[in-house]
Amino acid sequence: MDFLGGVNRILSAASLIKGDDDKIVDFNNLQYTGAVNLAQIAIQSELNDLIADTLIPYEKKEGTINTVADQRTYDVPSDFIRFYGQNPFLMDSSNDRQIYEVKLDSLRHEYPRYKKDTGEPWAWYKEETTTKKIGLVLVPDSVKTYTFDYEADVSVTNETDTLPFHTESEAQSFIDMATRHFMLLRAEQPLDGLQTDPVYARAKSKLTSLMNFTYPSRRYGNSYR
Amino acid sequence: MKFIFAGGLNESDDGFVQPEECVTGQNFELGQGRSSLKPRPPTDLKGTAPNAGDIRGILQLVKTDNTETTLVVAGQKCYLWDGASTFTEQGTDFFASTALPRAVPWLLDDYIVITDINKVQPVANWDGTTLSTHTHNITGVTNLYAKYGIEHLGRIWLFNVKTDATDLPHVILASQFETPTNFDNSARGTAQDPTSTVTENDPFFLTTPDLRKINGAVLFNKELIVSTEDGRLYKLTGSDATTFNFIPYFSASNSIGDESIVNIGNDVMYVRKGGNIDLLSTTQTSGDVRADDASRFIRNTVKNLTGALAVYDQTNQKVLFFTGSKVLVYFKDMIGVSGQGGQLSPWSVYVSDASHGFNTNHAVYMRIPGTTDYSVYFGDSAGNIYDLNGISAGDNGTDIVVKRQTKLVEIPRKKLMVGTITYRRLLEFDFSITFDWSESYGEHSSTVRLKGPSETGAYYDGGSYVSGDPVYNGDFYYNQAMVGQDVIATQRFTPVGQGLSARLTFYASTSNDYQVDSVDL
Repeated sequence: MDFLGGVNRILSAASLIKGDDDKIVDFNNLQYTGAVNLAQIAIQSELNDLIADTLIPYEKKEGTINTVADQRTYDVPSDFIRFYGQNPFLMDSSNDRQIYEVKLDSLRHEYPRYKKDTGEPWAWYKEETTTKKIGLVLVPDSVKTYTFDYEADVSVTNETDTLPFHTESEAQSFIDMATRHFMLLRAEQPLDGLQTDPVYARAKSKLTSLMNFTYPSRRYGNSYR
Repeated sequence: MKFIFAGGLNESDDGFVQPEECVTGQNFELGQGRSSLKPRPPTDLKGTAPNAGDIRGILQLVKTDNTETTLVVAGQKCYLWDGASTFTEQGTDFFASTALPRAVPWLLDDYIVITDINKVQPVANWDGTTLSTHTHNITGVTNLYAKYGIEHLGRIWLFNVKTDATDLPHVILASQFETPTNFDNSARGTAQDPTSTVTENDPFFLTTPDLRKINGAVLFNKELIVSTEDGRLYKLTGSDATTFNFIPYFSASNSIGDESIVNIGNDVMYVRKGGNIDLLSTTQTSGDVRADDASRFIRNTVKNLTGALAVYDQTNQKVLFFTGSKVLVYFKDMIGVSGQGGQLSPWSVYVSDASHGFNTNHAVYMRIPGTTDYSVYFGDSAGNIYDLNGISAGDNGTDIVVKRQTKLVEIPRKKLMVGTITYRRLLEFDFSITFDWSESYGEHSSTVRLKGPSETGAYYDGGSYVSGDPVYNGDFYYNQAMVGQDVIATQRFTPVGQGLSARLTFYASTSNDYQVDSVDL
């Protein structure tokens, strides 16, 4: 399901599209201007909420950095949020060698020539600048290819952006959540109402269950058996 | 809140405007028992004069044997027209180029007498085969000109005349009884000159009592009424040349314009000084008459109007005032209907983006050539003749722009406003509703594609029902209206913007016919 499909599902679930109405074909639609705006916000907000502190399977991607001789810093992919997992590393695919992170502040004190010395990189560090970049130490002296796993940005903006779920059921459950969000926006009600909304809670529960690779827990608390 | 469209244009302050009316608007249709929004009929191009000349007059003769001939005067040329593409010139450059010919039927001899609003063309006649100068038999006069003519009580009456170079705008000539070719400009009616020697059936002349220029003559309720410019209305009394006279009928008419006075069947309408369009409602007893300002609803539109070409469309019960760039339309059948006439404005305004722009030298209610039906025909400056009550798509293909803006209405406080449009599936078009919120400088529009009949077979159209596909595949059964013209359908819209009140503008620009029953908020 794409972003446009999600908005249409919300408009239908809220009984705004019915009878003779057609589904919208783009976000420039002038028939449901008010509702389309709110439905987009509802989906984006719920998606942000979902991915802010929880990795969803759809987020993990593999990135690549191709080094150039005498170039110290490199851009990460434009959809890069953060590295995947604990102790993230870059993998030199030519020799399966991993290089790990060092803290830039420590590096500055312990190895002041980190910007100058060239050779085969043995660590990476986060380059604090206006965009997300990493630096390599030593500064590469040749062309190499490093791969890494990262959490990708899965936010949706365009009509054709795919909602970041593996199955239609997951996407539908997510839209069930977003629909409750939409209904509160539509009624100009405080969004804290979501926390006590059993329909919202049930939809979120469905989504997390569907996203599990194994059977979810069927009971809570201690088992006395 | 439900918006219907039962009323017309009302330019009063909002406190005197009903929700069913509009404060600005154009090209919508009204009528008795009608509450839906429909566009006016399109103007169909019916023919183009071969010389593409300015259409100065459309003259029709319907004989007593029910045969009809129609003349079209385009520039100097006069054509016999079959209502379509066949034009046959009559005479050679018969008319003066600035003439505005008008027809007066004389059915005793089955011809029309042709007068000229501009008095540059001598009085003529057309008998169905020959166009010729009309015989008048006035001694010492070669050319007789007349601005208006009427057949009344067995005579042809000519008003605002000119004999050769002598202009007599206050004079009325009456022909000899049942001899419309015999006039006399020296024998005055006995009622105005007791020394006159005329006998009952003689031709004679009269003058307007106030000696002002005659700017209209109309038959109403079996009486002949004459209007003088900025003056009065007079009615004819008497029964023959010894008793005929004009007496005041309404002393403060102040009528203006050359063709602004019209019989509307149950009343007379005319444009008066200042631009008002007045309705003369009379009581015959004790000469008690009153003028009713029919245009009180459209005070801005008629302000400073200097005249109009007035036509009564009896078939459609409309009174049309062609003002040069628009047509002011008075829906007469709304008057006297409970909840409509008198309470809701009966006015609409027709405008057009087509080349004619409703700028015409002549519009006339006449028999549609080749048929027995009647309509309003008018011409433009390029030789084109149009039917005002057309049936084609748009004004000769040009979209018709319909607008209606409501007064400032309180909008129920809803969080996300959801509107519902109820309409008939006639033809597909874009319908928009613009909100001009009272607390916002911006205008916000919702545009909804209203549908025509379903193009794909659906439930009850027979073939498709049997085949099963459209019915059972779910695409149409629950989602779309059935095939068929005029099916009622609804669509929703969610406008942006909020406020305590707003003016709503309903708008469509299309050449398609449609009907919007209501808009709910």
